[in-house]
Amino acid sequence: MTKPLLEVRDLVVRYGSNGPFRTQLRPAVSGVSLSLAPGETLGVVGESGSGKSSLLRAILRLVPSESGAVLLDGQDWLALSPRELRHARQAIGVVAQNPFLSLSPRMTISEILAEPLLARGDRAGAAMQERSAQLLLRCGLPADFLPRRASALSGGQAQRVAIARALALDPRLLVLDEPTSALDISVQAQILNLLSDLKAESGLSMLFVTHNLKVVAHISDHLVVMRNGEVLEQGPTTELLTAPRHDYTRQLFGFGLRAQAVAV
Amino acid sequence: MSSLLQRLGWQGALSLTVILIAFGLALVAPWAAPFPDQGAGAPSIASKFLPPSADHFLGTDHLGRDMLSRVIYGARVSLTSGLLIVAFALLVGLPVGVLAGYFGGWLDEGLMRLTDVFLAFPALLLAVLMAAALGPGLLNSIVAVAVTWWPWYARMARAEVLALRGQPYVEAAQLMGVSHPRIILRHVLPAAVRPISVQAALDVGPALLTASALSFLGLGVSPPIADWGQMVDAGRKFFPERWWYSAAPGIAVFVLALAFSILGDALRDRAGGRRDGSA
Repeated sequence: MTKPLLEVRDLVVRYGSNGPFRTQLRPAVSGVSLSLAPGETLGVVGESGSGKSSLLRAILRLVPSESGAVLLDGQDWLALSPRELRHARQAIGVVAQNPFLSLSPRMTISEILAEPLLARGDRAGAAMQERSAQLLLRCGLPADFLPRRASALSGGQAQRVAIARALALDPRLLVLDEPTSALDISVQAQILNLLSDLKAESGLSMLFVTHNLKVVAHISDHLVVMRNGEVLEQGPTTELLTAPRHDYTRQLFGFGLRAQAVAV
Repeated sequence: MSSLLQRLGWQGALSLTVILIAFGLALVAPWAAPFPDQGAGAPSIASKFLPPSADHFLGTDHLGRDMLSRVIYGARVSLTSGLLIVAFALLVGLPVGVLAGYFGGWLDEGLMRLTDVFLAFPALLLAVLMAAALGPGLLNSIVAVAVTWWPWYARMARAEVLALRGQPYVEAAQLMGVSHPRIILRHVLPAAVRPISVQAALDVGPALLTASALSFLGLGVSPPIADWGQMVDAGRKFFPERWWYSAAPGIAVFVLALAFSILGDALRDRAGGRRDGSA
């Protein structure tokens, strides 16, 4: 097996536990391990409160981890100083759930796409415009969207812009946090097709977090099913879908057994 | 112009007009005042204590100076102090609040406790104390009031930034490796500016009132420079027989402060509607 691109070992995330007199809460993520090989897509699925978002935010270092390790390309990601982290983060592209919230309402698409390039230290100019136009095109939008604002786009178009922005620095890893949940059903399929195409044409590695197993099933090579902050089961997608070991996994795939799940 | 009237409402448009007229008169005071030399302070004892008449629309004071000219010249001091107090207070309060709100942690604790120290004193008392310590003069009284004013902007800016810091687009910029100064300038400040500027507009009135109060207490601009607060004070000795002496500058302060307050309200209503729509 090749060396993993992303490796998470026994990660624990706990909120509100800093300071001497705070009460200890149950960890949001308790001892999760997973690994993602280069060029692969790993789907992390679970219902609300399963800890998948906390896991994601801890991997992105938006929340501190209590213990455990996150290795990106073998590098200890949690040990990076804030200064190192700022540059290291450029190796990860992130697509958030709602594009209208994750794209600044005050900026044009052109400014939005230029932002990661400027952060890397590129110079503004014709070359950057050209690059922005290419990014848009790669995500299925014409270059004449550049002067528009995100608020003038449809949900699907805006999410394409968000994906284009995440790809701007040719990231080693693309992290997707419920990228289709805020979109219409028909648009969801288009975005998933775009992601499949990107994966096929450039061998993109993706970490795909969602509550909807159906969404992630046909794009993921491996799946991690989370519940109550723990990994319930994980394995190759085909294996999990054909022979899930837990009812919970089956329910996530949508067999209409939610009511029973709550009762148990 | 009609769109401005639509956006501000007639009260807002009227108060804006009043403010613009006051600005205009203050700017061209030497030409607008019927007796510019008296407005600037030259006495004319022969004409002292004349009641309002066609020659002296607002009467004359104890040195025979035309009150209308004095009030017009006084607008210079009041507007300057009102605007500069708010400007100085923003200059200090905004960076303090933005840094505290954005970075949080110990920096936040330190800056906000410092802010609390200033808020712990009654504002006017602190201003009087500062003005007395600094000595008379326009700039000193402005600084004295600004010292009591900035903590409010610091708190407000902090609250705004705290809310913005959690916005997904600010988080996205952080995840792209955009530097903190750039995030603050490009993402945080532009969004925080609108509510804070409304508050600033609302505050010009109270600020110039406070400055007038200082000079009423003898801690502001010294004569012969015309200042409304100081004129009200000087006229007090001759009230109520020579009522116009105190009444003219008093009404001027009242009208201008009210105009700023109504304009600020109109701006706030507008900003409120807009904010719900976009962010």
